[in-house]
Amino acid sequence: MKFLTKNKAIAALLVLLTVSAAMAQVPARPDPPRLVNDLAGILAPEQVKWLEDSLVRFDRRTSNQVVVVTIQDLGGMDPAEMAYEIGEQWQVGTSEDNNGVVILVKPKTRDSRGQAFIATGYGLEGALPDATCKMIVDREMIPHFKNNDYFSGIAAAVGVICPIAAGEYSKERYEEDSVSGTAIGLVALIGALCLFFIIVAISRKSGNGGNGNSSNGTGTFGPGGIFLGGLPFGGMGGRGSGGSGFDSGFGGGFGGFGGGSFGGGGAGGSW
Amino acid sequence: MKKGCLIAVIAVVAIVLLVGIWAVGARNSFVTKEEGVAGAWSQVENVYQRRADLIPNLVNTVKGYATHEQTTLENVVNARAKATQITVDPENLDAEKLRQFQEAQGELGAAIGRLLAVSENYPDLKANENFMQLQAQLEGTENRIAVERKKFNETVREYNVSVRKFPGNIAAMIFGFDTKPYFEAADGAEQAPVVEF
Repeated sequence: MKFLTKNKAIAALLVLLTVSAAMAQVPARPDPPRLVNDLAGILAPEQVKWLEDSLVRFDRRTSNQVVVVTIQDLGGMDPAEMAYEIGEQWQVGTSEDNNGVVILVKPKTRDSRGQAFIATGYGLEGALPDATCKMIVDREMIPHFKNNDYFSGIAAAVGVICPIAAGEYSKERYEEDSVSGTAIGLVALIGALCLFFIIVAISRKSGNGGNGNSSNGTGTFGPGGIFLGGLPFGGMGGRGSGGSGFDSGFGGGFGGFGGGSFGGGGAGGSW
Repeated sequence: MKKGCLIAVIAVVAIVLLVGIWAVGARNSFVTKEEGVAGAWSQVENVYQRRADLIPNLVNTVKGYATHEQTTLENVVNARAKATQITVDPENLDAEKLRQFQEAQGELGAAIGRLLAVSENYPDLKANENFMQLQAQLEGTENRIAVERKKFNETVREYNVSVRKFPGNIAAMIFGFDTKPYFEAADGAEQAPVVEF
């Protein structure tokens, strides 16, 4: 009997050890909190800024938290496991709704395949089922990633995930849609653009945004997104990095993670 | 003399009262933790059920294309029937019952793995939209199973520590709270099926 309990204790210890070993690989929760974490360094600073601002706005509007993490090395972990651990440990999403999404990208290197995974929090498993996540990875992300264009792939995925997560666009329509999600992304972005200009106009009236004006409209994403090409959207990044006007327009950055929990939902792919 | 007696009685009553309050508190905390274990267990059963629910659709889809795989298909159907028969009441979750549950589910997982492996030989099946969706769902379900098992083990560990640590173990013994079993790590058959694309 004594022996048995000892064995159990050892088993528990082993479980504990494997858990902590897995935790050692998972990147620490960013402080101050950020939604876009380019740990692999595959995005330009203005691209990171643009994504961060879009996702912060989305968080404010809908309370859905979409986190982008790029990582150079999965440390022997499965991409699904890594994305889940990030979501669970960073507590992405709110504790009431568990409405977090983790987009994980491990870039392709000379001797390892590229991996992409979209993990959904408990609360978004219904809106974004695994089959839909799989489709987003295959249709929006991997085609761009194959061309080494990480930003466009991530932006296209975000452009589909956000409206579906917010219930503004149904997954059924996306699945039937053969034009791919870029079109919806475009519509969503035009909406965001209008909002952006309104807010800029307001903040300018209040005498804040005088600086970064000169760089307005110069598209900094040359080879970047297909849907960003002709839009003055590219100027946003430049503006933001140029002056403080941008930030004050949105009243500061990301407010922090909300205690969301993940159950292993989502899907991924490799190239 | 009478006064000393009175003080002694009051002291004893006070001690008994304090111990009683402590024991009730300890018992309540065991109950709360036990409820946590029961909740985690129902999540585990949920995700296994989710996998079982995918199987009829999977079998039907494969049947249409892979006409020479009768035995493999039957194995999946039989393993599913066996696995869904075993349900465990979290109230009396012991090591033996958990082992049986895990074994039956492990066999089902292995049978699904073999079915997916043979489906590699049928290009038409692999290109089937429905089959691709099922594969994504199955893979997601395996991830969910891994997560819920892990969460279950964590809740059980928390409960077991509280039941075995002094002085809680005394209260646990009095009120009959026993330690609960863990999910064992994968050994062969229990290995989640590898879904390669």
